[in-house]
Amino acid sequence: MWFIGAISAFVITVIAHAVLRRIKMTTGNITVSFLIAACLPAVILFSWLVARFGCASQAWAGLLVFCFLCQLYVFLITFAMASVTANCLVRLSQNQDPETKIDSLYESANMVDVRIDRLKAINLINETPSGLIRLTTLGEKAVHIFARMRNFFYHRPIASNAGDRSYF
Amino acid sequence: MNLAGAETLTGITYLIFHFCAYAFWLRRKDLFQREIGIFLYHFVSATMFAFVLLSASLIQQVDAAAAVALVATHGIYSISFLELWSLSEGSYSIGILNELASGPARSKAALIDARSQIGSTKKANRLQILSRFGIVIGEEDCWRLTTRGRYLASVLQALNWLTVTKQTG
Repeated sequence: MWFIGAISAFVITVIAHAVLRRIKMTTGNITVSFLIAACLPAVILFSWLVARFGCASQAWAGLLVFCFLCQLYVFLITFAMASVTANCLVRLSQNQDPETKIDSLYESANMVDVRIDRLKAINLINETPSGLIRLTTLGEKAVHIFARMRNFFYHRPIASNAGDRSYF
Repeated sequence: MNLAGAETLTGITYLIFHFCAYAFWLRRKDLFQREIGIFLYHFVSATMFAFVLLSASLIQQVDAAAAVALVATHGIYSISFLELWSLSEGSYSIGILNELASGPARSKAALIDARSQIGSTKKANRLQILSRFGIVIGEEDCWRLTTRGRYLASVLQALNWLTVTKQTG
């Protein structure tokens, strides 16, 4: 029962997110809109689990399964939206002519352009009136955090991994 | 709370050990600095963890709910870890932020010009990887999807439809 409850709450969250994304006045950030959509189902699920099972393992299991499914879903939708691999696949599936080159389907300049707009939308960079792009304070913090993470994970310096080994 | 049973403590201890083994030892090893190594480290661990716990719950050695809770916890931990690992390793957006952090402010056109070549390299790299998995076939710049690739692309398009993601990058 707790498992079905968790799955149902997740399905309701996905539907609520799809509806939220179709309402123009909500945030454009896909992750934030998902978190907004997940709040109410999460509270209802947790209340129901506690009311039914108290603090027994079923209550925690239901909540953790819900959290896991939500995290997996966020990973998948951000992957489908932003990953180079996913974009290559989607562009190729929309193309009818096998002779068309990938560069004309998915332009490198467009890849950068879209990402700059996305970084602007989440306030990591901004554009001055003279048209110059620079980091915001939040952007500087993000750079520091990722520099620390790169050190922790023992990644090579950015310049040398420009060719990129990542699937994502 | 009932979750604090012996099986739960053992499971949580295992997850802490899994992380500590990476943090204090494995991250310095070359294999764990590569995507395949870090992916297998988590995938094999999660699969075996799930197998052991769910088998134990089937023979009623472990409470089924506690077993599922632990498997979900491993899933949350592994996805978070792999996302952070991947983001800090090769994200295109982080690359743009780093470029701005290491130099003066520049125009959008200059930034696009500087990063476009990396975009082309990334595309070529990913398509080569996809062809190794039999998802695309082709040569040079002309690629097409295999049946498996078409199925995968449909899933991605369904996700984009669900989230109304029109402008993909």
